[in-house]
Amino acid sequence: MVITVIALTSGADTASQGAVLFDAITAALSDAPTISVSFDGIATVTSSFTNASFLRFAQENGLGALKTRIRIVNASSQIREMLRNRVANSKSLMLAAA
Amino acid sequence: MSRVVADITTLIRNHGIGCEVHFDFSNLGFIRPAGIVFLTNMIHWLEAEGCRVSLNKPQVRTQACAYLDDSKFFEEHLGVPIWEDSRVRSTTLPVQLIRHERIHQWLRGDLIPWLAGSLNVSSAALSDLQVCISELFNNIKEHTRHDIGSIFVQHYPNEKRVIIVLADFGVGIPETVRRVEPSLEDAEAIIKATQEGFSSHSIATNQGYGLDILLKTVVERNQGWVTIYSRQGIVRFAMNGTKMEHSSKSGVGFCPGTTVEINLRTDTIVDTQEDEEDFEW
Repeated sequence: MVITVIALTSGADTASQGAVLFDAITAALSDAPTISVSFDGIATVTSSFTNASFLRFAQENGLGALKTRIRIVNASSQIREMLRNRVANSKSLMLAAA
Repeated sequence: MSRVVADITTLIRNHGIGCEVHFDFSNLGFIRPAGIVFLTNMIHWLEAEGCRVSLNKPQVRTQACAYLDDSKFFEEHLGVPIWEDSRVRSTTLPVQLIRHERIHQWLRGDLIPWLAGSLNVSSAALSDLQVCISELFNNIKEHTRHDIGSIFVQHYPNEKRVIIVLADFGVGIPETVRRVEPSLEDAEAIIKATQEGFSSHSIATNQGYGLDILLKTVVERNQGWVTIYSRQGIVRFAMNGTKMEHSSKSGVGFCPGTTVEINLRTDTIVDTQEDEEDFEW
């Protein structure tokens, strides 16, 4: 299954938009072992959006679940860098993994 | 400008809400983009706080007053420009008062395309800058009851730089930082707020990733510089060789809320095309 962000929200700029994606991811993964999230049509994401979507998913389900169950596709270099940095630098995730 | 604001805040303290403030531009010899944004936000803040604000129409068309008029400052506050032949300059994006709900769309649809056109680069080349400004406005929403920010952009082609100034009238960075670090002075609090991972934990999604990414993008990568004004703190961040350093001043005036002045070098911006790939965590 593919969740296309632009089909859910007009952008990936705010925490409330991130929450919409979080809800969609959570719902989709209740029916499927893995999903893809496509950023086709979205050029940039903010930390607020990332925190409210992917980091929240990792905090509630574990970093392992984030990495194995969610695939990211059609992501620009800025999006790839933001996701990578946020996951690598999130103290709460590191504490949870410890 | 921060001394002017210090005088105004003293006036409000002494006379309370409902005071009258008159701005006289007769002797204005020079104004920078940060000053325009500062004034714009100041006027809107005073009006929101119940003060009556008036501005005189300058009689002499000094360079400073012409710049204000061409930047639509007088049109914003008086309803009409002062001089009939005032025109927005091709190198200026006039001062905008933006509500948070509109900012991200305005960035994508107005600022970034305008700047890309001015600099003859693709919008993709400015994506990091776009995100920086989005992050700053997300912080405005999270830390102020007014939910309004001002932004002004001036391109200096001969100097190969662009100045972007954003301002809000929130509680100010020092007040926010002192919720978790109560002993810090204003400039120290500004510096603390720029450290990666620092957060005031004001809301669950605020994990302190706004100001440090701004400095990484503008100072480290672009080799430009950033000045942050908030309450009595002024801190400038710039590269010194290969290391980013900061210099600070305190107590020279007062800046309610926060004003961020971004000095972007245009000669270090690398034009890139959009690339989309799959991502491995």
